Amino acid sequence: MITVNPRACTGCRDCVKVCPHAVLAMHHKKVAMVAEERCIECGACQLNCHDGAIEVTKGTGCLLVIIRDDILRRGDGGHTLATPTGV
Amino acid sequence: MMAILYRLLTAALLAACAAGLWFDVSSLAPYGLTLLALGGLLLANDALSATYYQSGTPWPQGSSEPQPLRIGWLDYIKAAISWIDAFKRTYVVEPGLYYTGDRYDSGAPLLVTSNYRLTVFLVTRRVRTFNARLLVVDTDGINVWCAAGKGQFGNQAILAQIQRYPRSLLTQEKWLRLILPKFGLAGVDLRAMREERMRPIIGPLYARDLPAYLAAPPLRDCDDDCVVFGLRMRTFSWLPGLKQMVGYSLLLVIFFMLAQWLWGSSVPLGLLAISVFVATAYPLLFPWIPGDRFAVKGLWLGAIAAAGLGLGAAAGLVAAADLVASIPFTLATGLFFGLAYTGNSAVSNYTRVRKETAQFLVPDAALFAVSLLAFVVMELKA
Repeated sequence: MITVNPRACTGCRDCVKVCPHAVLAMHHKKVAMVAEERCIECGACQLNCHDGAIEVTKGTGCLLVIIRDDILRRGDGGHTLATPTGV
Repeated sequence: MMAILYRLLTAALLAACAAGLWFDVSSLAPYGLTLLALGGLLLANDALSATYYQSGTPWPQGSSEPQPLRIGWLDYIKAAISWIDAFKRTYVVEPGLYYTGDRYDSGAPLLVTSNYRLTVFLVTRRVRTFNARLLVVDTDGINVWCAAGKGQFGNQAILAQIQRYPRSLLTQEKWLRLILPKFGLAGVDLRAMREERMRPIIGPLYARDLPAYLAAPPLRDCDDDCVVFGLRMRTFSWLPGLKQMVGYSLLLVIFFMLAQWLWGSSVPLGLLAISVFVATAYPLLFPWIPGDRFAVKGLWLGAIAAAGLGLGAAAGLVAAADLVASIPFTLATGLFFGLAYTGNSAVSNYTRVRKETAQFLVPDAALFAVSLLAFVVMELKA
């Protein structure tokens, strides 16, 4: 889940630039959520917001990781498979 | 664990083949050549994959000299194996600084990537005609996106590689310009990088966009680059996903073959066909399958396959009695693949998958159990 607090935003635009799904945009020089349903909760925006304007429940959206980490509680907190889709 | 299962599967296939072909176990004889082919393929794949580094390999003391990037015909074969094995094993490349062309140029664009073999191959293939450099970060063979989420691709890992080389070798300027893959930014704090005398540039999401990007300097941030979960991306994950599903189904088929050998029951080879249908139709038809949830899409496909079985029964091609066990199996397979596909897709998130897992995992296990029970009861009756 992602939440945005425009009042804390200083308008640096880093969060908008790093989002790979165009979830965020600038509106009157403040961050605004324009497509929440597209958010994959990767946490890039939160990591790059030094004003505390964005909060993300970061996690891996994968059945096998959820079974391992949340149900069996045997994980190391991340995805270990090699999905061949990134650069 | 997966490697042990894989070898057990290979051994079971070859043992069943030997039993069928050479030891006159009549129930296995009709499948002998098929089993030999499958077992042989798995064995060849295992032998080839043993010829290069896998994740967890401790690196020898690395060279502090930049290495040339070359692609030969063997790299295409290794990349193909790496692709097919994508969900089972991770193959790695030695981390460090690499360059294209005949000689190293400290002024060439410096691209950062993970040490997953397939990623390095794909990036190299796109940039080899340019004067470029590649900083391969140690992510233990995990791709950029997953490694960034896991904390393996980030400021610390990038800095660790940069610090291996003298600054003068990396750049003659005040700032070291680094082109970062946009998929990796979940692990990279841009501001912290700037404080380390680096100028991070947000590069393209996809390796295929690198030639156009490098051909149009000055290199700017790819602000507007956005994930497109299109047919091309879905097709890329199709073959590894298919291999994974067929592997699971083969385990079931071997179980039934053993049952046939011991008790003379039948082998429902249709299980394989259902798995192939679901694992192929799901990624290729993903946007057009009804439903917003991954599991619901899977259920739809399971229902379509079940309807096909029903039509087959009406036409006399499938025994009506087999439907009792086949229909729950078909629905369970669709549901399982839908849930498992969350990890292959570029459009899932943790909150959503957690919710779907809570809703559908137990019903899915129940459907599999009902199906297995029905198979056993039918065989006992027969």
